[in-house]
Amino acid sequence: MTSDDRILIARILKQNDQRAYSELVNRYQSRLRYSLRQLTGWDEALADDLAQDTFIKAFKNLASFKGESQFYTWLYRIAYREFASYKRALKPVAPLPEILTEILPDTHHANPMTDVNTHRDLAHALAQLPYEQAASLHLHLHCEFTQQEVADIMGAPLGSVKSHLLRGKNTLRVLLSSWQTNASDKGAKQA
Amino acid sequence: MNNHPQRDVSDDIFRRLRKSEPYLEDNGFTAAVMAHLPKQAELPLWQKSGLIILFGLIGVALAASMLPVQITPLAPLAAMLTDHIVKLEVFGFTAAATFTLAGAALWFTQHEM
Repeated sequence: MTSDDRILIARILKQNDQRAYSELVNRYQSRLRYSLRQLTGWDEALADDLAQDTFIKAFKNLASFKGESQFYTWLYRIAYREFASYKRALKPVAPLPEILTEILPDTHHANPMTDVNTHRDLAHALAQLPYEQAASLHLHLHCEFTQQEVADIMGAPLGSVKSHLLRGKNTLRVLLSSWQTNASDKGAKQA
Repeated sequence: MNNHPQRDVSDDIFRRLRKSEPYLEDNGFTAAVMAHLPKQAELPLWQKSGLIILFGLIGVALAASMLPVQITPLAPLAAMLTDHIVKLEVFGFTAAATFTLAGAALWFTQHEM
């Protein structure tokens, strides 16, 4: 936890200073909302609702935060619980092969990896994976949490996280190779 | 000859997207969160103390009013100490009522109003 976070949290707990919490929300809102967009197939409204619920629950439970981890990590733990409970309430998605081509975008440009749309495309691809795999991949590969931290955030054994990562990567490789093939074909036709 | 180890395609795309992660403008998000937080009124210490004493006195008065004879709020204690007219149960009830109401006052001052 950064010293700034620690000071702000102390002000909230001791002086009930809600402006200090406003600073914390402002500090982390972008990263958390981006992560939730990645996990919800870039559904901006849903991601913002989940992020809002996360920050409200974090405020209510701030006294239970012991500072043993980064505040950011603790926040992600709450966010993941919100996201997982939302996903569990949903019906199962269609099997992957039937929808594989639907998620592959035809909006690839000269430098697709720097295009803002690529963030959405990856979010759409992640949304096709089981949510535990998508979350493991995003938390580990994008947010750069260690595998143990991912396990803590997800409340899962380390072995399960490793398994989710392996399976998620394999599935994503299929999705991305088709994506690259489509992009190459499209480029060849245009040439 | 390729000197770089084989990179997983997913590692590569995540790495590249991490570098280009957009900053999401607040656009009222923080204000919306703050508007949904539970409101907590913080009373000054003298007001808290005053409320606790007030509720304590109310408790004593209530307990005394339930005694069979008309006496002042402090009479049960005085009577018990002098000629044992008042039974111990009455004193116990008075104390319990006082502490309950004082506890309620304490809770009241520390929670939402």
